[in-house]
Amino acid sequence: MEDEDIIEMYFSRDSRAISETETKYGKYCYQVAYNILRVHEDSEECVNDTYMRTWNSIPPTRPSCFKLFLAKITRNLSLDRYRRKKAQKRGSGEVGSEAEYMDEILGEMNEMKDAGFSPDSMAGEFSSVEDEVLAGELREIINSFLSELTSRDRVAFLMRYFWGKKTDEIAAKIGVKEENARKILFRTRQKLKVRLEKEGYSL
Amino acid sequence: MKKKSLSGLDILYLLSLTDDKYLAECENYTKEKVPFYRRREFITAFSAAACFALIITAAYYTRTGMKNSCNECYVEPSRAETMADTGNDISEAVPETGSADDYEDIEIKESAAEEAVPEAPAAETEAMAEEAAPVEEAAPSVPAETVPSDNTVPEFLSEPEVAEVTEAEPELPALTMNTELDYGGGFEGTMYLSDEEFLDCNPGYLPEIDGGTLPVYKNPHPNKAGVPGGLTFDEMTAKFTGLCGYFNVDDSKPTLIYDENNTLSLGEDYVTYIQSEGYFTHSQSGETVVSLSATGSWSVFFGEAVTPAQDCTTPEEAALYFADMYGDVLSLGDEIKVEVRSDRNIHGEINSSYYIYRKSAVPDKDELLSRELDFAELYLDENLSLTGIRRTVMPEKAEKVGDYPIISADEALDMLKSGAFLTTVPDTLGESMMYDRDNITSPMSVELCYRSEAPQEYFMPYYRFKIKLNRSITTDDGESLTSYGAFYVPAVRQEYIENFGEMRLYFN
Repeated sequence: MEDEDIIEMYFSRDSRAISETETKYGKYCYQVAYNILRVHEDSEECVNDTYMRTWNSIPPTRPSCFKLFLAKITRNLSLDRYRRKKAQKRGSGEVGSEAEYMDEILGEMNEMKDAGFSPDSMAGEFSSVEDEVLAGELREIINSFLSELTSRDRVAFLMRYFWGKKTDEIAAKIGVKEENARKILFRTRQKLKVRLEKEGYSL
Repeated sequence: MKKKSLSGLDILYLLSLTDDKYLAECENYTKEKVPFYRRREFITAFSAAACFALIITAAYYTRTGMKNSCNECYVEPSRAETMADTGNDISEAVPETGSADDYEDIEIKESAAEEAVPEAPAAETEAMAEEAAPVEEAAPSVPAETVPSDNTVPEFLSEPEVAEVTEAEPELPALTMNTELDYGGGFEGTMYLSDEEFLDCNPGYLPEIDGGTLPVYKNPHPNKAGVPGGLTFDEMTAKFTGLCGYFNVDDSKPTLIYDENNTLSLGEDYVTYIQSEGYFTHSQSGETVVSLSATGSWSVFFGEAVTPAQDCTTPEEAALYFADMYGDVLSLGDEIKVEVRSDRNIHGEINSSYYIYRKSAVPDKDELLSRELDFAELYLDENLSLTGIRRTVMPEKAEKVGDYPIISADEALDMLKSGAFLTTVPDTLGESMMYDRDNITSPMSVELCYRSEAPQEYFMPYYRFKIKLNRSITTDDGESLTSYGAFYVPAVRQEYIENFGEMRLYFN
């Protein structure tokens, strides 16, 4: 079934839209979630949540690319779950092996301070006009930043930090050694850091 | 409006605002090839040649000019002096070599090539410098002391790693395909009553391949003739002994002794080692027969079918039951996938084979490798009893050559339609055309697989397309069976395959 047909089913509130989404993109969404969570059960739950979130988002949203729309929802839900689990484990003193992978892939993220950006706000559901304006500005900044990168560096950066791919996979994709892929990622992170600071965001 | 502080996780959420076009680019990205005349090696060689030519020319004119003007006091300059005098003009002899983008993946070091590159416009020069310079120079300058140490900067953004980025050297050895296909005089194809039945039995198999690479292995015994290069005789003896003990082919665990004729005695039974095929087979009294190949693959066929101890209503249930029952010797792990492969014989009867292999949560590289190179076939009778097991392992002595980039199924389809494929299907059979080689129609199914039959020098991945052939036969019952043939397109990118161009030359 074509994506447009599935989207139309959402608009007409036809519950078969969910099963069609599952059939066509279930595995894809699972892979997106699994790349972040690395736990089968959690990934499956995230995918199920994705269907519900999609059901609640369409309408009014009409995605231009349904597949990537699903990927973004799945990814945000996976990050939510990762964040919650990490907070729970930190509270209990437990450290999970699956979190270690995420820590690595996200570059040893710092302590999660409450920066005021709720996950939902980043997922496109803004709680206030101010958030919405801010998100619009950030959207512009991030896409402007990405547009200034070379194609190779952009692909490497997004494969790592959007799709959660391993560095050896990235290296194979862009045709450099793994060590060099890491260096490209480092260089790109530095550029992003400077760009955000230039725009007035403290880090 | 108050700007906010961002944590590392914030930035990851922020990336959800990325435009779709950039995300789609990740899926479609393929590294652009640098033309040979813009590669570093070529530029270096070209510059060196130009330099040499310039030196010779300059030396000639210097000598003749001086001779003409001051013939009586001419002293031939030394080679070093000549080079020093002429080196600064080398760049003039080198043609335009392209824009900054052309150099994106080329490491530029201090060399004749660097000196030879003509002056580029300022913007391009800057871009080139950024690409070429070590990372510590290319990265925006953020003094270390300005970075707070109280975790306000996400470590995500502060990895202290700086070095030069260089292009990967082509380290993967070139591969060769076996283009001489042998399918026992016939062709690889299956028969069904209808397209619907075909699709039921051939759903296709395209696992997700993270990283876009698949391993290729060197076959230790690519030739059927001669002494095989798999397990040694002693290794086979040990393995065979273990199998016989496991399947209890003798009341006591047998001790194998082999004489100078390589015949093993096993109680009253005997085992023959067929040296030319690297093959152990045990037989006697019509009981359980164990066989072992030098590849490490083995089979057992029971004198009396093994009945499941619990009710199994489907072959899949029975297969899982036996996979568990013989789990120790099968060594396929706990997560087993059962795949039923069915087709019809010339009498219109359905034949089904039951394959088991390691199952992944989502079909992926690991599952593919088990499905193709490390699996078992279970033989079930009509009562769902087990009559035999054939366990196939990739030759235990096969060495991994490397992980090779693979093409997508869509790219493979394009190649198929362009005629770049291997098949045992003859394009004509008798006077009728089986298929039009130059006008391949849409395939009925596609699956990622490994061709692993013995003559392969390398075990490498292929896309196997099944195509409906212009051939049908009528069964005794008057039903019409249509044939579907197998067509292979190498999945490894063609630049890694030495004899890729031979494909159009070979067909049955």
